[in-house]
Amino acid sequence: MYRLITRLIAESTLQTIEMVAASSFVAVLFGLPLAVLMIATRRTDLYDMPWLGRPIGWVIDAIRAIPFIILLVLLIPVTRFIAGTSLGTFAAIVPLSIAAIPYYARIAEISLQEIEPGLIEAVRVMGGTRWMVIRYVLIPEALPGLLSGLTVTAITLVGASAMAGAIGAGGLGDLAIRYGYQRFNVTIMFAVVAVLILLVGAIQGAGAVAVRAVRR
Amino acid sequence: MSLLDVSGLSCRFGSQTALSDISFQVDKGEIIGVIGSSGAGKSTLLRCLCALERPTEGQILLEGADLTQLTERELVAARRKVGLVFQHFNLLNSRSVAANIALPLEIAGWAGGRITERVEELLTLVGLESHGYKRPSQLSGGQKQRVGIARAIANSPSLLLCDEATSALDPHTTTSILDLLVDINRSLGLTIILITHEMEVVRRFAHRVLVLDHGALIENGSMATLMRDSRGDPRLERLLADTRPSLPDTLRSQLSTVPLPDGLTLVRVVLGPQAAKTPFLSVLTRRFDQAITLIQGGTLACGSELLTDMILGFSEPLSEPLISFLEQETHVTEVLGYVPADH
Ligand SMILES: Nc1ncnc2c1ncn2[C@@H]1O[C@H](COP(=O)(O)OP(=O)(O)O)[C@@H](O)[C@H]1O
Ligand SMILES: [Mg+2]
Repeated sequence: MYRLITRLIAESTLQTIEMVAASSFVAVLFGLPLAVLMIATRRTDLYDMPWLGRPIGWVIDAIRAIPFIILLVLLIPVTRFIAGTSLGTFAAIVPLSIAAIPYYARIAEISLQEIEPGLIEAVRVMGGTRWMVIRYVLIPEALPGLLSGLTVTAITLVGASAMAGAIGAGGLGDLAIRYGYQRFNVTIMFAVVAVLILLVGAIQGAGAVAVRAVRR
Repeated sequence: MSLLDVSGLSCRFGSQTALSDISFQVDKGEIIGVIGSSGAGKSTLLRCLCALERPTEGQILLEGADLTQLTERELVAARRKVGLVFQHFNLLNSRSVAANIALPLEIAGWAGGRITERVEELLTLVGLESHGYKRPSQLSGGQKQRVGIARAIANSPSLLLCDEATSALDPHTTTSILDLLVDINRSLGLTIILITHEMEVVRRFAHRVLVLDHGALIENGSMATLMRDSRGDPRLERLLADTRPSLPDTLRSQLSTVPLPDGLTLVRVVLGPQAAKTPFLSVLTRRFDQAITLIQGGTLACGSELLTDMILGFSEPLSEPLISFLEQETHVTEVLGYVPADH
């Protein structure tokens, strides 16, 4: 009995980690460029094309306005198109990523916004192009903020991935619903909660270490 | 041909005129001080000179190329001929000190080995040999500004611009940074334009001073000339007040405009460079039988010149021959008034 519980939990934990890691990766891959695009087009000392960045902001806010549980259902056709199925861990990565991209883009935007205009001016006056400003100033100077934003995003995704359990995504949320809620297995319920707490703590700790390493 | 030739430069922001019809020239190797009260347009002028701001009208010829006519792509190249030192340093904390100095070289496409060599050379030049590995946040203000200077001159610009480069520093550090700038000017022959609201900074080492007021250039000459000839222009007087001898408050409150029996006659005199080394006061006492006290002032360095500016107390009312002697021997003789003497 206990061996079965341990196996179930170990399996589900791996599925959760898989979902969180993959969607965090996609969130940075698309969210960071979007954030850079919004900042660089808005700033008069860079591209000064606010008409380009602003509509992106609208779309981002629109997606953020939709509760995740509704987004899950809304995105079923998209998920089927990309993943071939709307069920399972791999399929859950699609709606999780689509929710995480705008979330991370807004968080990254805040860190990028804090950059002193003087730093941008310094690189401009050295004869740096706008692209060099992005590469040498915006991203490296905002890196501590970008990393703590990633930590927050990953932790939010742990919660969201549990919700994705509702559509059979697997992972710890799925386990808690199937055994803990539907069969009222209290042991599994508490074990899942304990693992979730440990997981969030581990992500938070790793994030803090990474931020400290780049801040110096 | 001068290194920099600015003519008819105007810069407006909407209805606000930041610079109006400015013309001046700068020769290679000069140190120019630009001074003016806050909002006078100093930073705007500097931003035009390093092509961060496009002026509304006028021409800026730097080594013959007109900065106002260049395309964005050409500007990127033109800016590499100008170095800029900032008041708040603007160093990247994501990079080490050495990597900050290397940045303009990376941008200009230097090879890695040459960059390392050049950075070592620059660290030595600004006296930070052993600090290359540190982060800017680990340095003091003066050290940060040394990094800022090293970074600005890394790519061997033909013009170094300093925007209030010492305004965030204490007086002792200010002196050491100014000494470094003078050193660089002498050893590399680098032309420097330094803007500041502190007259003291300009007085000590600028070869020439430009005074801005509400966007207009109201003076362009040596500091010594400015201090001698400013009389009557309240805009200049206000800027110069800090570098001038001034009456202590207790004396000022006793000051009368009519001669007092047994009183002291207070006179401000300004003497040229030769006077500093002649026994001027002894000559006055002997020849005119006066007892003279020095109330304030003395001899100051104005760039490379010496200027003597002081307030004297004469025991006797000024006689006609004394007045004509003073007018002949001094640049400025100004009777400030009369105070009762203590016996
Ligand atoms: N980007 C700008 N937009 C609008 N007004 C500006 C801008 N830059 C400067 N000004 C105005 O131009 C004037 C001169 O400013 P500035 O050159 O910064 O003066 P200083 O450096 O002598 O204190 C000020 O009145 C300032 O408000
Ligand atoms: Mg200014």
